[in-house]
Parts: sequence; structure tokens; C-alpha cells
Amino acid sequence: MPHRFPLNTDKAPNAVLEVILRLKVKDAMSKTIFSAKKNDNLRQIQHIMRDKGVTGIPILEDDRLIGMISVNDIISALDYGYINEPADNYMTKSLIVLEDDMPLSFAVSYFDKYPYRRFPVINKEKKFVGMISSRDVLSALLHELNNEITELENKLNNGRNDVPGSITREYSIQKFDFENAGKASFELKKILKGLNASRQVVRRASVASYELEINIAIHSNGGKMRFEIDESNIIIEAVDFGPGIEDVDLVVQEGYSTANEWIRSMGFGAGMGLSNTKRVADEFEIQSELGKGTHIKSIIYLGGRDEA
Amino acid sequence: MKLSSLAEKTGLKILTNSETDPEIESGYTSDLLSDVMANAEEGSVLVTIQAHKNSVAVASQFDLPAIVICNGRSVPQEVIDTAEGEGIAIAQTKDNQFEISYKIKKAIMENAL
Amino acid sequence: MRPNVSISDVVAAVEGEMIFEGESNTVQWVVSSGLMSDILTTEEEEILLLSNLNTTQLVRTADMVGANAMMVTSGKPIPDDTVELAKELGITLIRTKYPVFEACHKLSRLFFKE
Repeated sequence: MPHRFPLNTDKAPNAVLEVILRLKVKDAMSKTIFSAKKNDNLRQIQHIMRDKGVTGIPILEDDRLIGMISVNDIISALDYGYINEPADNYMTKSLIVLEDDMPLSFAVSYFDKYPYRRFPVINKEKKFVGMISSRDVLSALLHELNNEITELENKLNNGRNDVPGSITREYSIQKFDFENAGKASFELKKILKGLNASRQVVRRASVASYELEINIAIHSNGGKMRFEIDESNIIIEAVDFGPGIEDVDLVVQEGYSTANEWIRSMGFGAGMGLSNTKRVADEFEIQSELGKGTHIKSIIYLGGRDEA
Repeated sequence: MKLSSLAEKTGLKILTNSETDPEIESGYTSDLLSDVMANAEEGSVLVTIQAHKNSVAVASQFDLPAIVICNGRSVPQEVIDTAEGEGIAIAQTKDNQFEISYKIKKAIMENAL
Repeated sequence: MRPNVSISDVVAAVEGEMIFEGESNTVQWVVSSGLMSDILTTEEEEILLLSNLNTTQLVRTADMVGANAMMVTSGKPIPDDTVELAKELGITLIRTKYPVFEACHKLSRLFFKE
């Protein structure tokens, strides 16, 4: 084999090693599996493959895996004319399986070692629980690495520049990452609660921050949330890398929206985000340049609204 | 129950002209138009805060004779015009979704007695 | 003054299903919306958030406005990550088979003495 996967090498960073050891086979495997019984004939199994778009069918007997039929087995059956015979006589019985509690690194090394494109997965009680393909591994790894690296970046940026009496935090926000959008605002809320800010102030800052954070995820090519809290102000800034806004007066109007039905279906895009932010903030500034990006700064007074 | 008497009972402000005074049988509350299309029953009033033309289009397509816009959100004139053109009534309320939904349901139930 | 309505009464009123029992066991008012920004405009405290959305962002929004509980309507399946986040943030999560319109009416009886 020309390339071995660079697994567990001396050069691998700890964060990556940690991810492939922390992730288990069961976190990546597909649990929706189409199976057959040993008395089903190969024609029936071929139909399952065709209808469900899969290339390997596990043969089960009471939750136990007793064999596999692959596309190659079906092709041979068609070639040699035994397509109407039961799976029992033709299935592969000596199987290489993974256990669901094994770290994902085992799955990766199996793909290196064996020519198969998928492996059946069983649990401790030897019950069949799923299948894992290289696609499943790739998807789970990328997903976890994204989270891990975002967290590392945030750690790198935070806490270093704090001077006495002031707290600074910065978080990067990815485009369309609705799974993680809101985490930065959650951190801000925690900090403010720790500072014993009043309920109203925490709430207003949370609303401003969350709207701005969601805006970056929906409308921009990605960007950053930056918080700076000193003795008197909570400064919440949203900076993105484009595409920029043509008419900033228009976008702060309530009801103005460029969101599509997909975004609306997630409960966003009502055209209220910026007007909401403006309403809860004591100071609000927006600057934008087409092709460059947008910078929004909203300030909330730590001591509450000036009632004068 | 006629929209006009429902409006009287629940404090709705009807924005479209009085020519359209449809019969309201039930209600459906949602801000997701795909959800409305999939689940709202004919003859229901649509309770939403989506004051845009798409709401009118969906109401017209799925035989929802009236739309109630909550939270006192303003309704653009072009949306009112479109609704009148489609024979759909639009009403507005200062109430939020929770308040106006139970008021409408209550009024319809009392009317049926 | 708004009444303290117990979560168990809320669950019973909508024939609901308790998915996760959080820290607070009462609510004082209901806010219903399918739009996050709309929810974020509320000034109410100690609320039950009623929505036909079931995403993690519903939980995030609930947290931002300090909601005591969330209710997903129309018997929608609730994704695992939504349940997990509700647990992490300690916010009660309930599901009802009723759509928003009917759920509002059933809940209203708890909040008004007639």
C-alpha cells in the first residue's frame, strides 16, 4: 500500500490523537441498517441493495451477525446463475468486525489493513449494532476536528490580554454553523453573571450578543465576536469578513430581511436582529463596506440604563 | 364565526376593507410557512408575526381566509393590497401569539355553544 | 401579579411528555413564537417558551431570555443534541402532541382564573 494513514505517529499533535481516541466506533457508525436473513435469496438481497443504494448487506439471525453479502457476491450469482438461491450458501462467513466501544483509531487502521470499504460493528454482547464506512469515519473526524480546533483557537485568543479591571474575549464564528452559533453569547452571559451584573443588564447583553452572533452565521462569510468588559461598559463587537452591506440604514429597519425560506425554517431571518440589538443597547454603531465586511459595535452600560 | 364578530370579541383590528368578512372555523399558529402549508386546516385563521406577502400567498393557496399579525407588528400597505386582491382578510393585534391564540380559540368555542 | 404555575400542571394541561426536568419547577407566563428574534424581544420573566421549533437554537434562545421551560409542539421529534443542550443548561423540556394554537388555549386556563 503506497500511503499508510498517518495514525499515532510521533509528529501527530495531541489534539488530533485525543480526538481519534475519544471518538468511539459507535459515534461514527451508521445505525440505520438494511439487513437480510440467511434463507432470503440473493435476488431479494440484490433488490435491497438497489432500492437502498447500499453495497453490502449483513445477514442476521436474532440480532447476531452470521455473514455478509457484497455486490461482488451478487455479480458472481448473476454470472453463474444462482441468484435465486438462499444467501446462506454464498455469504462470507469469516468476517472482520469492529466493536462499538473501540476508539475510532481502530477503524482507521482497519481501513489501512484490509481491502474492505465497510466493516460490521458488534457490541460487547456480540449483537450486531451497525456498519461503519470510510465515509462515516471521514464525516465524524471532520466534525470533531472542527469543534476541537475552534475551541483551541478560542482558548489561544482569550484571557491573554486581560488587564486588571477589564476582561477581553474573542470567538470565531463559522458561516452556517447553527450547531455552535450562540456559544460565544453563552460565555458572555456566564462572565456577566460572575460579575454580578443585574438581571436586566445580563439579559440585554445576551440578546444583543446572540442576535449579532446569529447574524454572522447566517449572513456573513464568517467572522468574530469580541467582548470587552471594563468597570462601566460591556462592549460587544461583531466583525465579519464580508460580503458587506450596501445600505446600512435599510438593514436596521425592523422587518427588512434577505433571509431565505431555509433560514426562516430554523426560526431566524425575521428581519428583527439588528433592530433588536439596537433596542437593547445603550450605544450602537454599524460600519460596512461592500466586498470587505461589517463591523458592529454595541455598548451596554454595566450599571444599567441611565434613567436621567 | 364571522371575522367581524371574532374581531369584536378579541380586540382584533381589521386592516383590509370590509368587503372580505370570511367565516372562521379554527386557527393555526405558526411562523414557519412550510409548517403552515403542511398542517393548517382549511377555514383556519393564520396567527403569525410574518407580515409579508408570502404569508398571503400561502393563505390564499391553502384556503386560510384570514391572517392575524401579532405583537402589533406593522403590515406594509403592499401586503394589505395583495391580500385584498386575493380576498384574504388581514387583522392586527397588540397581543402576542399566546394571548391571541387562546382568545380566538375561546371565542370560537363560545360561539359554537 | 402573575400566578406561579407548576410544571406538572403545565404537562398535565397539554397531555405532555416530560423530556427533561430542569432546575425550575414553576413558570409565570407563556411566550410562543417560531422566530428566535421575536422571543428575544420579550420582557417577561419566568416564562414557558412554546414553539414548533426543536433545534438547539431554541435552547440557546431560551437560555438568553432566562426561560424556565420549553415546550415543543405538534409532537415533533426532538433531536438528541437539543435534549443534550437542555440538560447542559438545566432548562426543562416538554413535548406536546397539540399544535401551538390548541396548546395556547389549553395552557391559558392555568394562567387565568375565570
